[in-house]
This record gives sequence, structure tokens and C-alpha cells, in this order.
Amino acid sequence: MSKQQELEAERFIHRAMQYLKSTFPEKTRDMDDEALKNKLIDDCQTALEHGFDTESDMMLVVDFLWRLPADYAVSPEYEWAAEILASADMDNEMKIDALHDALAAVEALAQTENEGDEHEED
Amino acid sequence: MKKTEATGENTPCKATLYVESPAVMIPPHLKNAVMNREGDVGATTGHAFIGITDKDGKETVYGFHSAAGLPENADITLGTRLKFLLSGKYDGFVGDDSKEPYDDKMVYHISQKQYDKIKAYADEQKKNPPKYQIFSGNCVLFAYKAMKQAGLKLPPQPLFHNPAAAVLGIRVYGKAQKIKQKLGQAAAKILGRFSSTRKISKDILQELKKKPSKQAFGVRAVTESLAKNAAALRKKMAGGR
Repeated sequence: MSKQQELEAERFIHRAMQYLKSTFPEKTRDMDDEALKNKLIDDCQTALEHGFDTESDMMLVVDFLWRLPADYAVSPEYEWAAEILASADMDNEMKIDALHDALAAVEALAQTENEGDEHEED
Repeated sequence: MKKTEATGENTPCKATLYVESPAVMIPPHLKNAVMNREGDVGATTGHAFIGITDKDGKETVYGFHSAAGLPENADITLGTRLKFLLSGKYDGFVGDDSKEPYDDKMVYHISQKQYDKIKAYADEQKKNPPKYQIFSGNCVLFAYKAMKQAGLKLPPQPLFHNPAAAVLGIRVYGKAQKIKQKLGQAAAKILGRFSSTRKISKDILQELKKKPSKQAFGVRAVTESLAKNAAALRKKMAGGR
């Protein structure tokens, strides 16, 4: 690993931490920088394991993972995330699109169900 | 029914996605409320198909089916049928689904060019039908692929394409599109801020995890540091006089 690569990677992690702090203020508020950095690196490694190896590709996965509940990895409701990430039939762009589609559908459905519950309570 | 607004300047034609709800998505007491589902094969699994309407208002309806649905295959046992469906060994066929029942539909106003693209795809599939496979070559996938020829925004499909997901997709379409739009904005922000060519290796990530966090040195940090040093130097020089 060259000094240049190391510096670029450090800058990437720094910028990624800034991005997470500004995009997810509620989730990052109670985390110190060390904890945030380690979680970010763990998520980058998850992205890397599924073939997302450029800075932007990695961050698309990281951003997506931060939008899921903390227990998504063990929750049957979110099994689809791992399945899409591991899909051999899709390229990275298609995977991100499919992940966004699935999350949008799940969240929209949850909103619809909540509205239904509210009406039932009325 | 959901209806999309026209986006192009000249959209005299229409494309319609029709979906029949699978039985599990209909409360038993409402099973026959919209239509009689007794004896309807598609009522169990659900079904999706498309219609394209030309500028004169004539609609042509296409649907993709497994050959298991053909009358000559009526005697095949359920076990064999399922095995064939899952293995993709069943022939598929594209038929005229104008008499098929449906519960939900989504109408798109499209241009002549978009109409032609969908028609060309559907006619080609009718001429050379692919094998039917329940997850990767089913009625929904055919319908979606056909509509995608015209670049239409289709209801989201979590996991594999299936009628249940298509029904849900249509019902939550508006909300899902708003959420997807927000996700798209986040993605655009990321693509604008982070390099799409610079790669980060596993080794570097592991090394970085071992290192303690430190403040990165940006332009502001460097100028502040230089200014501090200059002030200290001035003070020292002034004291020396």
C-alpha cells in the first residue's frame, strides 16, 4: 500500500464520516468519531464483499445500509437486502436500483398499513 | 386504478399494466365480490398482463403463460406441473388476454414511438416465446420487460417479479415513487461527492480500522496552522527586540 493510497483512503473515510453526520444526524449524534469510523469501515467491507469497490459505489451501499433498521441483518423482513446484494445476475447499478425499489416498496407499504391502522382506530 | 399523467408532448396511445390479485391477498369474504373467481386458475397465483391501445382506441392485450395452462396439458399432475414450472422446462406462450380478469391496472399515456416499441417486443415474444420459469420467466417479467421497452416507470418489485408484488407495487406506487425519488437524490449526491474510479482495497480498510481517528488536514486546517505559526513567530520576534 503506497502512502498516496493511504492518504486517499483516509480522506475518503473522513469525507464519508462527514456525509453520514450530515445525512443521518439522529443516528450519528450519540456516536463518537471512533465508533462512527469503525461502523463505516464495517459497512464499506460489506460493500466490498459484494463487488462495490469504488468510493462512490461503496458509499451507495453504505448510505443504503444506514437507512435500514439496526437489526436488519438478522431480521427476516429484510432478508431481501442480502439476497439482492449477493445476486449474481445483476451488476452494481442494477443492485442499487433493486435495493432502492425494494426499500421504497417496504416503506410505502408500512406507511399504507399505518394509515390503515389509524383509520381502524377511528 | 392508478393512472399516470402524460409526460411527453404527443401521447395519443396508451399502455396498461393489468394485475389480478393472488388469492392470498383477497379476504375470503370478498373473494367473489369483484368477479367470480371459482375455477379461475390465475386466481391462486395471480396474473399480470399488458394492453396497448393505438391512436384510434383499439387495444391489443398480451399475456405470458406457461403451457401448463393449455387445455391439452390439463391432465398433468400438480407435482409434475410444479416441478416443470420451477425447472424452467415448460414451454411458454404469449396469448390474447383480453378476456382475462384483473383487480388493478395502471395506465400510461404514451407516444406512437413508445407504442411501436412495446408492440414490436410483444409480437416478437409471441412469435418466439421463451421458456416459462416461475421466478425468472413469468407473466410479470414479460409484462415488465414489454413496458420497459417504452422506458416507463413501473411499480416497484421487491425480490423476484410476481403478481403479489405487482399488485402491492401498484397500490403503493405513489408513496414508493416519492421514497425512491429521495433515494435517487441521495445517490446523486454521493455520485457528485465521491470518486467513481478510485478504488479502496480490503487491506487499506483493515489498516484504517487499526489506526485511531484523526482530524483530516484540509485547506482550512493548514491555513489556520500557518496563521498560528506566523503569529507565534511575530510575537517571538517582537519579544526579542
